[in-house]
Amino acid sequence: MKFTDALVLRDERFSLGLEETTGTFYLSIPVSNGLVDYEEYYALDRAAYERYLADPKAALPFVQRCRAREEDARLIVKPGNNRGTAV
Amino acid sequence: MGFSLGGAISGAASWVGNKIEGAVEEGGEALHGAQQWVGHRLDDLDHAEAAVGATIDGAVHDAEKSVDGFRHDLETFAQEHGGVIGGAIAKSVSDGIGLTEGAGLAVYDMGKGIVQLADGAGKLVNPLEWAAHGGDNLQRLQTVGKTAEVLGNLASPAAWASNPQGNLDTAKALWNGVTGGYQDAAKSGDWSKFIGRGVVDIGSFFIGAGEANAAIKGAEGTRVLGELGEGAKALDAADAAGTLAKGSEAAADAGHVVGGLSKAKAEEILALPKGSRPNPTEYLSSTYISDHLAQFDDGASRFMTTSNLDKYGIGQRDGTSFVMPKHEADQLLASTRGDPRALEQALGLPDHFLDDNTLVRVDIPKPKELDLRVPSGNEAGANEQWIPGGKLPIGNSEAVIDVKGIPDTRYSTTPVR
Repeated sequence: MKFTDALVLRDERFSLGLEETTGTFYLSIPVSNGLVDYEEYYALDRAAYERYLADPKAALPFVQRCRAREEDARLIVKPGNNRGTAV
Repeated sequence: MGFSLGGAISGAASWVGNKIEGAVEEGGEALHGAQQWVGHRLDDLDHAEAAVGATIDGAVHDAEKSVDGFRHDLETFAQEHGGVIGGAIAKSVSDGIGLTEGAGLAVYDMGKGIVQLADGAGKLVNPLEWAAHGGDNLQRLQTVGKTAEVLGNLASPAAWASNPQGNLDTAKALWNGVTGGYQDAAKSGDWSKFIGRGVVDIGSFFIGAGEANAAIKGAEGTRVLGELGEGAKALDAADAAGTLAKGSEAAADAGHVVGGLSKAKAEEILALPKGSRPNPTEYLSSTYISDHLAQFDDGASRFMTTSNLDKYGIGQRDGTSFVMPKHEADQLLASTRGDPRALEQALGLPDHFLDDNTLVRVDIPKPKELDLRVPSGNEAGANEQWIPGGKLPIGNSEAVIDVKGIPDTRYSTTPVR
C-alpha cells in the first residue's frame, strides 16, 4: 500500500490522503503502543474526503470517533498484536 | 466374643499411624533421593547440565511412582483387612499423603519450569540448583521478589518482545512445568494430589514464590484436608486451577506489583479515569523510582514511523513522549536481526506493516534534562495496556519525558531499515 498525504494538520493530529494502490481515500491519526508510534488509516468515501479537505474542522468529530475506536470498520490496515492508542 | 467398633477403629488407626509414618518417610526419602541425585551431579556441571532433562525427570517420577504405589497398596490392604472403616481411614491417609506428595511435586515442577526458562535465558539462574537445592532457590526468589518479577528478569524484556517464538517456547516450558502435574493428577483422578499441587502453585502465584516455603509447610500440615471429602475439595482445587489457567494473566498481575505497589493499589489506580491518576511518587518508593530511572542514564530511545516523525515530531498531543532505556532498544534491534517480520512482532505492528512503512529510532542522550519520570498513566500515550510502575505488560521499562518545543539538537534519528 502507498499512502500519500494531501493534507496534514499537525496541531489537530490527523491527515487526509489517498491510498494509491486501491484508490481509497483516507483519514489517518497517529497512535502509539508504548513501543512504537505509527498511524491508523480510516477509509473515507469521496464526498467525505472532499468535504474534510475543504473544511478540515468538519472532520474533527470523525477524528474523535476514530480515536475512540468507534470507526474500526473503516480501518484499512488491521491492527497488530499490540494496538496503539491515539496520541 | 462380640465385635468392638472402638477396638477396630483403634487398631486400624494404630496400624494406619505406623504406616503413614513410614509412608511419609518413604515418600520424603524418595523425593529427597532424587534431589540428592541431582546434587551429586553438581560436581560436574557440564555433565549434569546435559543430563538435567530426562534423568532428573526420571528420578523424580520414580519417586512419585513409589509413593503412589504405596498409597494404592495401603488402600487395598486396609480394605481387605479393615473392612469399610479401615478402608475409609486408609483412603483418608492416602489422600493426605497425596496432598503432601502433590505439593512436593508442584514445587519440583515449578522449579523445573523455571529451570527450562532460565536455561534458555542465559543461565541467570542455575537450573541444577533448582533441582538440587530447591530451598536455596526459593530463598533466592524471595530475595528478588515475586515470581513473575524473577521471570521477567530471566530474559531481557526486549528479547521477550522480539522473539515471540522463543518466548512462546519458554512460556510453554514454564506452563508445562507448572501444569503438567495437574494434568497427570486429573487424568488419574488423584484429586488429593491435585489439591496438594494447588496449595503450592496457586499460593506461589498469588503470594509470591518466596512464601512458597510457607505454603509447602502449610500443605504438609493440612493433610487433614483430604478428610473433608475429595469431591468438594476437588471442586475447590478445580476452581483454583481455573484461576491458574489464566496463568499469563496471573503472572502478569503479580509482575505489576513493584516498588511497594500492591496489586490492590495497582488495580485501584487502573480503575481511575485517565487524567485523574496519582503521581507515581505517591505509591512507589523513592528507591524504586531512582533505580528505575537509572536505567535511562545511558540515554532513552523510542521507535516511530518516518511518516509520524515527519508529520508530528517525537511528541504526543500533550507534549510528552514515552521512551525506553537505550539498552533495551539496542537489545530489541539486535534480537530481531533486521528481520522485518520479527520487528513487526516485537513492536506489535500489523503483519507486513514494514513492507510499506519505514521506521526510525529516536535517541535522546540526556532524558533527565527533559523531566524524565515514571509515567502516571495520564499521558496521551497511555493506552489501555498501561500499568502503574513504569513497566509494559511484556516487561519492558518505560518512562516519559517532555518534548514539546525542544530543538532537534536534543535528539538524533536513525533509520531502522
